[in-house]
Amino acid sequence: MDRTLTVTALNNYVKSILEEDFNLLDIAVEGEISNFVNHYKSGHYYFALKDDKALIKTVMFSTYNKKLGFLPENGMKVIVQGKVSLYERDGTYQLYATDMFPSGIGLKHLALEKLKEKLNSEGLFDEKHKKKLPQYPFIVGVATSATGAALQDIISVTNRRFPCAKLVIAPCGVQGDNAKTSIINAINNLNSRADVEVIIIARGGGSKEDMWIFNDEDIARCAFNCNKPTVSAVGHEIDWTILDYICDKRVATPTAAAEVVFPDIQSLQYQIAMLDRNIYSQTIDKISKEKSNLEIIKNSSGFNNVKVLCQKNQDKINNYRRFITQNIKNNIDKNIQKLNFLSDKIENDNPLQNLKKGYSLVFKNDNAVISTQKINKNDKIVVRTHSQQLNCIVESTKTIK
Amino acid sequence: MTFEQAMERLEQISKILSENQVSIDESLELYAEGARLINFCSEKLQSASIKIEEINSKMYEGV
Repeated sequence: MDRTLTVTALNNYVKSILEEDFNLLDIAVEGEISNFVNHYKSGHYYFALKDDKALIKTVMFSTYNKKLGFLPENGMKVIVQGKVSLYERDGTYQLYATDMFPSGIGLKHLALEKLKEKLNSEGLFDEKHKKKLPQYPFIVGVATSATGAALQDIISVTNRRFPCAKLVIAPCGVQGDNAKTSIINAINNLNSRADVEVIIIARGGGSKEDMWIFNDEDIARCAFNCNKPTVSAVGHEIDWTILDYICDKRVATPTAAAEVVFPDIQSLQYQIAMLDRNIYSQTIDKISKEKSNLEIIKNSSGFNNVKVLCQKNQDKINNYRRFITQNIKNNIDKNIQKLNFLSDKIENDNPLQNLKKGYSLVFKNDNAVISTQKINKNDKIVVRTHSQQLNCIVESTKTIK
Repeated sequence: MTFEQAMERLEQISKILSENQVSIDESLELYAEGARLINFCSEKLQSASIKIEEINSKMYEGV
């Protein structure tokens, strides 16, 4: 023995050995809590983790224990996640906890947290992958138990909110490891249907264990690979499953799923009625605006000047007409006077007028006789007086000089 | 045409008409188009109760 060490050096050496051991770097240890101390000043937790044969000192610094969702207590079975190292001052090796879960389901939780982390680091939960739900889906796929309350809830909400919709039900198990294949088949089936617009994956209420199947990695990847928007309605208000993180929309209950997926038909009908009214009244407004525009043009000074111009011309035309009419009338009057004069004159010159004065006319062979030479003895002549026609035979003739 | 597209177009028509940028002829054409779309949408919503189809989830297996 030619070499001695200080205690500090020894402890440091052992500590380094413990910390370099890959197996001790990130371990999960299941045990029961004892001697639990919540240090009032630092907030660190100190306790021992034990089973029926052994015990290990454990410390959980406040940085980590602040994130715990529960308060540990003596006798509680837990799984502690952390690393093993050595506390130099006391020379004791101990567990440095970074996380802790209640046991039983605790182990599953650990696996769940790991899976969640894995899928998250792959980007499967990223907001950029979230598909928008269709605003007015008429055909909606539902993957759920054919006999469960979840389906009845969805049907009744759909009937109330959007009765013109069609539900395509893909029945599947919703509990236990056997359900896995049928859930995946149901999702794939609905996804392969061209007419289905959105897929609801639903399960009625239950315990954390009941819905554990929806933390399955294969189901998660199947839902992630859907090219249709997905809605997860399998969890609780508080507990999220992996599927909840994967789906494009997460709701707490099947009822809420139908409510978020379907529009309310009454408000939609109201919206359509409003659009109808708006489009109608806007068109009517347009027409009456055009009408009043025309009215304005009609009453505008420009348009009225044209009217006045026409009226002015009308006056002129009227004047001309009156002038022409007067002239024609005058001419006619003049002509009438002339005609009257002429007719008087003609009347006076009529030879029959002279008969009234005692003259008579002589006709031979219907011709008026102007000189006696043409009449001989025994000629038949007609003498016309004012009131008589005398048929005569000439006895003798005598020329008057 | 989907219901969603019809609703979008109706909103658009209402907006165009309210902005008063179109001629009276165009307005009347838009009104006629709007009336057709209103009918289309109203008819789509007319159904007393939902239709339900159940598919066999085993169908997908082996595909």
